[in-house]
Amino acid sequence: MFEHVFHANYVLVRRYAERRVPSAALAEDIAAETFTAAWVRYQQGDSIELPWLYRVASNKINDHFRSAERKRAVEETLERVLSEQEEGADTLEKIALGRSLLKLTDREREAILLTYWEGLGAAEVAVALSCSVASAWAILSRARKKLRALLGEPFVAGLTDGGRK
Amino acid sequence: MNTGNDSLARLMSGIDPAMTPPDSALGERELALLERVQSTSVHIHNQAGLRPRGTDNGRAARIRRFRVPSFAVVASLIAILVVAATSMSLWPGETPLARAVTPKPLVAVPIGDQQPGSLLQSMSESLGASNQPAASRVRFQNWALAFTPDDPPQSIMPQRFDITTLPDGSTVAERRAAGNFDPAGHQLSGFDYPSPGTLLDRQTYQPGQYGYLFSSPDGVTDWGTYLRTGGGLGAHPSTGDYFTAVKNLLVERSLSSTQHAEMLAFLSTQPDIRIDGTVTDRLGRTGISVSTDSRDPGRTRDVLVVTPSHGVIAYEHVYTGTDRSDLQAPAVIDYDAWF
Repeated sequence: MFEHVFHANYVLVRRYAERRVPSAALAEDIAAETFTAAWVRYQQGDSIELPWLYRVASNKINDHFRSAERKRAVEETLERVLSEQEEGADTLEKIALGRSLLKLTDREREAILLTYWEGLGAAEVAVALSCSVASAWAILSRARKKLRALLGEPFVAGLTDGGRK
Repeated sequence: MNTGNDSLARLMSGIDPAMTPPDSALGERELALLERVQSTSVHIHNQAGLRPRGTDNGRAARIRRFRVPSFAVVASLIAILVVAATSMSLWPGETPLARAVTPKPLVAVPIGDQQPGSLLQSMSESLGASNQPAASRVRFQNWALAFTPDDPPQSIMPQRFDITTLPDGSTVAERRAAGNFDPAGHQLSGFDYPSPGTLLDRQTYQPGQYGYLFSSPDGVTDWGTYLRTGGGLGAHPSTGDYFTAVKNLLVERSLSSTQHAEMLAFLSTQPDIRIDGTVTDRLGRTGISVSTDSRDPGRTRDVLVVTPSHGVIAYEHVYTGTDRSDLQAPAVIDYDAWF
């Protein structure tokens, strides 16, 4: 039932939007518009999956921001969270990571965010990015390589399963 | 994908900007949203009881949907483009301070009896015969309604956009002032606004940096899938959805005459299209206006102006409803005119 879809995914979609737009009000609107689209899809008999919801939310965000503004929107959200950071051993690393994320292309950054913040698997990232699984792997691999170069240190890739937060 | 215990995962977790707790329970507000979503098929933006909240600017800023490239320098100006076109600008119970000034709708002169599908197919055939390559530039004039309840716009200030793809694959995007007008299209004076043609912003994007929504149109054979994919449409979009997808495509990609003809041929197969008639568009050109209200029945219409020599030359989004106190229907909410 649609109620189940909503209950299971609303907070996830809301958090997705909050990570990409600087305004809490806009994030709420994005989530509302996303589930409106989902309701239409549901009424047509199509299934509603979380990666599809993320893709719709992404498109809604794209409707609000064009290219450079999308990057600026992410920058503002990162600036907010970095300004709230308590001084710690890895504060500089986090700041460097925030800046490095902005140097990725939109798709590379989105692949990173979907993987690490939304906790999606390869197939799910592919749906969210509207590409093949192989492409999703390639985009993420390229993004990680770029971040490694920008941050000047390797990432230790563990073998435990990723998953949704 | 495996993120494992790598240090990137740790750092990413540490800079997560999400504000809503992951285990947050749905409250009355969210349940009210669910109820509204299920009770209506139209846009519920703002109708779901989502009151505008104070932003850092002290006023709820609704970034309205717009389809223009916008650049860091003018982010503050773009932020003034508020209120969703499909939402109520004012909350129930509030008294409007003033109505927004909007461009006069295009006046259509009816033409003879013809089926919309046949008309668009005919346009497609004429366009396809011209065999013109895609241009290296996308140029268009855009205007979008910007409204805040206590400061409604009193004039119409379109802008012109020029997106050029250079031989090295980089992209240069420019935004220029295009004048200041009253609803009838007469130039206004006495406003503190850049003169027409003034460069407002320029951004250069390295190859691959410009965030296209649509992949290259080269080699496209299934225009329905292409428009649905790039436009982020569902599996069964309305004809109005396709109209907006066409608009969103044309503000970022140039099509060859063959590609444009194929796209028109696809549109010719869609239902719920009305031939409005011959119009003179915002840039003084003559074309045929075709429209549909299938995306938002009874509330807005999506309009394309097409010609047999250039295909789609303009898009207009027109409010036709009765639930907004800031607009008098019919009211143009936004338009794009390619040149």
